[in-house]
Amino acid sequence: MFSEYTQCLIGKKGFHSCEFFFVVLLLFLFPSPHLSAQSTGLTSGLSAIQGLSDSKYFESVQSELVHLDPRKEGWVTEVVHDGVALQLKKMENLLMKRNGESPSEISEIVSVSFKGMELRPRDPARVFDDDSFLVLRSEIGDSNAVIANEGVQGFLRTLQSIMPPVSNIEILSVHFHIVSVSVGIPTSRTRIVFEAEMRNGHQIIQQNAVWNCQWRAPNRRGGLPLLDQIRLESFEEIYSKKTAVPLFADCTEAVLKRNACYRDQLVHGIEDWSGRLDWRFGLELIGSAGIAVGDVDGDGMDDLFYCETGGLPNRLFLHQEDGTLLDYSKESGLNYLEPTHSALILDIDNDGDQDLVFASGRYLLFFSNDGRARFKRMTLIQTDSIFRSLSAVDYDLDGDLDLYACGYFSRTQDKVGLGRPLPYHDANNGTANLLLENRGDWNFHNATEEAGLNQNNNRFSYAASWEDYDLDGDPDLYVANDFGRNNLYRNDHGVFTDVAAEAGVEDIAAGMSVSWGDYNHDGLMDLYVGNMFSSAGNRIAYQRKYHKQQASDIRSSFQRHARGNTLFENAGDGTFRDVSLETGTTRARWAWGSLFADLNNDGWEDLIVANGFVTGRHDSGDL
Amino acid sequence: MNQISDSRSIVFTDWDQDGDLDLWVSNRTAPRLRFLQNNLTSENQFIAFRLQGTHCNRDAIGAGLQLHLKGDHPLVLTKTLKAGEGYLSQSSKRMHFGIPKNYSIEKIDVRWPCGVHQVFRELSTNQEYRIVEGGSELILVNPPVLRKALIASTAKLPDPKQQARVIPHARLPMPVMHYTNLNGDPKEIRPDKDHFLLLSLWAAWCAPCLTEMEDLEIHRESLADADLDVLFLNIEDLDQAVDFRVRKINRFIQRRKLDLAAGMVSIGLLEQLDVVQRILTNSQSALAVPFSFLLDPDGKLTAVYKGSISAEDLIRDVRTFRNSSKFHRDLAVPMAGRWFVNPLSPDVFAIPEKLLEISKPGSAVDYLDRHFRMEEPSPGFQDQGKVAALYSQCGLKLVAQNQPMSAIGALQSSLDLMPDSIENRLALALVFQSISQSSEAVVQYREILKQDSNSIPAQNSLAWLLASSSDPLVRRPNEAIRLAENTCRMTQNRSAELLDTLAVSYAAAGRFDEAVTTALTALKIARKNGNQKTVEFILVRLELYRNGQVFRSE
Repeated sequence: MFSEYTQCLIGKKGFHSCEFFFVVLLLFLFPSPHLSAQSTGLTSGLSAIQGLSDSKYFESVQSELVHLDPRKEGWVTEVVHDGVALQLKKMENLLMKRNGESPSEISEIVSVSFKGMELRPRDPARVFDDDSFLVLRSEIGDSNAVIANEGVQGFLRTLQSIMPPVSNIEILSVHFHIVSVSVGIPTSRTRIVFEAEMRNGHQIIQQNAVWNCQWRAPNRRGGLPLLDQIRLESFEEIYSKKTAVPLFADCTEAVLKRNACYRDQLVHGIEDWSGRLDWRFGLELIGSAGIAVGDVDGDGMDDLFYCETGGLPNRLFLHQEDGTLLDYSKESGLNYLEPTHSALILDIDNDGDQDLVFASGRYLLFFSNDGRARFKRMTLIQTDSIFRSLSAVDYDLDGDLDLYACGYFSRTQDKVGLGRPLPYHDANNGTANLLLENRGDWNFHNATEEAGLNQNNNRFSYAASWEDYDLDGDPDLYVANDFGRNNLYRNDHGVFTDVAAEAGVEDIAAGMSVSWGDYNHDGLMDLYVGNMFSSAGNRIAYQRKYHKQQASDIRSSFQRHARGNTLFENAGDGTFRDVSLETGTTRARWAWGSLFADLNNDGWEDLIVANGFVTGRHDSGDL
Repeated sequence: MNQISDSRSIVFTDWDQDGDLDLWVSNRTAPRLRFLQNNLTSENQFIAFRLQGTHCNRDAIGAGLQLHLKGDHPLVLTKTLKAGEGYLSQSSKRMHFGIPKNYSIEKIDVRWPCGVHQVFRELSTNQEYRIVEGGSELILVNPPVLRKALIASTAKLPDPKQQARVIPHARLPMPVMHYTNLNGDPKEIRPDKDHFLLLSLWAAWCAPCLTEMEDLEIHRESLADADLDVLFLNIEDLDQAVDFRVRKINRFIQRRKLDLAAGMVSIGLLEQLDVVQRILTNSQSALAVPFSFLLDPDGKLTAVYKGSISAEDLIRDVRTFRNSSKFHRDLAVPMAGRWFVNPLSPDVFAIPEKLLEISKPGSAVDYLDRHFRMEEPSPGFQDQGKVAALYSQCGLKLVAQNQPMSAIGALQSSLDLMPDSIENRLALALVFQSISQSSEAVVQYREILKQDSNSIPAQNSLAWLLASSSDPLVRRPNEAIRLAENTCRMTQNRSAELLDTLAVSYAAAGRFDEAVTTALTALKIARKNGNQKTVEFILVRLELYRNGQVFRSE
């Protein structure tokens, strides 16, 4: 219903997910050439000989890679999963009416004893209804489960039962995600998330459902599990009421095509560039480009700064009256070639025009605007932290903007673009974030320690956002950390205390992004944290075998790592309540950016999540 | 429309000023920047505010707005002005509120960051206002400009390019490479004086290779004028004998009437070239043909061409590389820009590290010898500790590959740079010992003991040699006993191996009773530790002592 790569959750106390789909492959996490790394140890029994720290690093990565093939680790569930995934792919083909499966082939999907419920409930409740969207929902308890269809022909009827009562429907896409597998003999059970996008001439319809499927062991060696039962657990259907075109239209070309850099630079993906640039320029395979908007030329319209990876110039675009963008990078003096991650467009010197700061590796560069979008470099700050997001506020309320910069890992760890989080679920070997107090005249003072922000300040921080959540008049700070717990720094007159634990917002997970918003209209700012959701992580992390030697709290933190995003409701007494599950806001794939924004002007904050890790060649369905 | 993207940051702003929030999104995949226009057609309304601080920061970041709405039920919308949220993103500072249809505005409540509190009433929906801190009234901003509707993208994204020219950020010293010429003789690859050299990999079955060959053949004179030589290296039949390959390539060249410098690669050369291309782009893609490497007159890598290259482009590149006054890195980026850090030295360790990784320590040592041991080492080699560590790493790998002589060379190079490295010297001594050069090993152990007289491995190994060497000039049984007694004392007689050495030493001095007693103690410990190999060795030696015989290790 919305754009194909961004996921929107329409808000009205509850959230309804309407998403399109992104495929990601975890294995790309580590550059594969190191797979061939071999141990460089000496066989003659010499102990630790001082060698190349890098080689040691690659060896350890290699040992982690060896562990990445689940079948070698004896995960029978993953074998069942793979078989089920192949069967689901056939079901997808059936639904999409690709190369119509004949009855004999269908009997290779389902068992003769198949039993299935109707997959679209008769009377789903209207949970949201305005002039743009209609959302229907049903939760089906066991008592309501009615087996409607049996046998091979019954299976076809069950499959067809998903169709909404609307004419001329065409299915545009179908996706399955296997979120849990429990292996048994003779039948195994899986919990499957089903997502479909459909359309007719007037509207777009999206279905999100959870199916509990039972599979019978294959009746021959090497065969696939046969579907024995489908029960519907929950169901959601979203209609765009007015139009068969998506709410968002991709107008990138119209806005950017006049600029050579669009064709030569931006239109090419990171994968493409990675084969064409010396990687020592800092080309980042993860591809994390920041965007900042602000009016740099004083014409009342937002202009755009694009943070470019290493070896390609940053771009400043000026917003023209016809809505298009004009490349002004060279003239602006901002076309730096070093890898840049994030930027803010701000009036740093309070002179009425919009200045700019950007984070490039371990450097922060401050630029003064002459009022006509020509920038002069004023300050360069060099640290040991490799920075990610920036967030500015006047934390000491002295009338100028101070800057908080999130450090992800330190310079010494930045070898292959990823740190080495230890322990993975609660890593505390990242690097320091920085609070820079604005002292005027482009001087900045490192106030991190004296402001109390060095508490728990050694994590892999991706993003931070300021908000006066306790309504005491000064801005507080939430920091989202990858591989572990987050920070909530309460500001008491310029001195901070990390109260994440007592406020209940540690959110131990792979934190990627932070957004504050009053989603329930109680005047208190609630908190949305973007994390990673992984079907594979869900399947494996909930099995007892997983980390069975570990304490159960560690296991549960691994489970949290795979759960997805978190919505915290501000209780007003300094604490927050995790309302993610009841609001349906967890599962937004491998999230990166996430924001509250009222996209349909109904007065309620919606959520928008950017996602996708590194797209592989085939859909593993895992993310 | 159902394409796949890996998205990163999101920004919202009412870009087209039509009263709803549009989105800018960055992606890892193409296109990496995307604009999504919100086509909301609802009857809902909006209001937008621009804030300007006077006492507080001019952008009024941190200001809190509460919009009170009248309608079926009163609604209060709360927002804070942000600079940086989400992930790597900063959204518009124009504060946008959606307002349900049938609702109107009662008031806006503004809390400026420094504490000033203001309330404004009489606002209309679907308008944009400016609010100045302390100002007595709202300023209506000009009604939004009517926009020509932007057109949704229909164009297909370009396919990733297969062809590429990759230029290293600094000219990169190459491995020591050899090819086989068409007489079947190995020759080192080195540019002639003041000439650039293009190494072009080809195969007879590769059509683009042949096109490239013909093109370069036609332009031979121009290439010569540019002082550019081309060496075509055939990559076929790697498993065949040299004679066979030479005949086949000669036949091919004669048939095509080509008159160009040609030869062929060995697997070893191909591996070296693959290392070079992989460390350049950190890419996972394997070598393919056509694929060319351009070397400058010093033999340093200047550019890599994936896919075929025309004579015209090549000559232009060589002229640029030869004449440009720019830094090399400015030629290496596809689009102009500026830098704030100084140019980096070439990454001279990448190639030897990668060679080590693929178990080519000999080639890695050649690389270090060639580029580090010159009178003027290539820039980038300043880190002597790192060079030493690499030599040592190579030495250890060579030991593992059973190439002791090369290992000794590498370890000695490492020790030349870091004479105090006990680990490396120990390794060197062990290699000497392993090839029965006892006297050389003794020299190294004594050197270690000069630095660390308590080193147990050095004392133990030295005692072992002094007691058991078959070279009578090396044997010094009494010194061996002194050293071995010392190590056993230091370890409270708990190590079977050290006691074993002591027993060997006693026997060497003719003190067989003590040798037997000591060996029995060692045997007990080894049995307790389940160290079967040691048990077997000690049993053999015990038999010797009981017969009044000494043990000789070689």
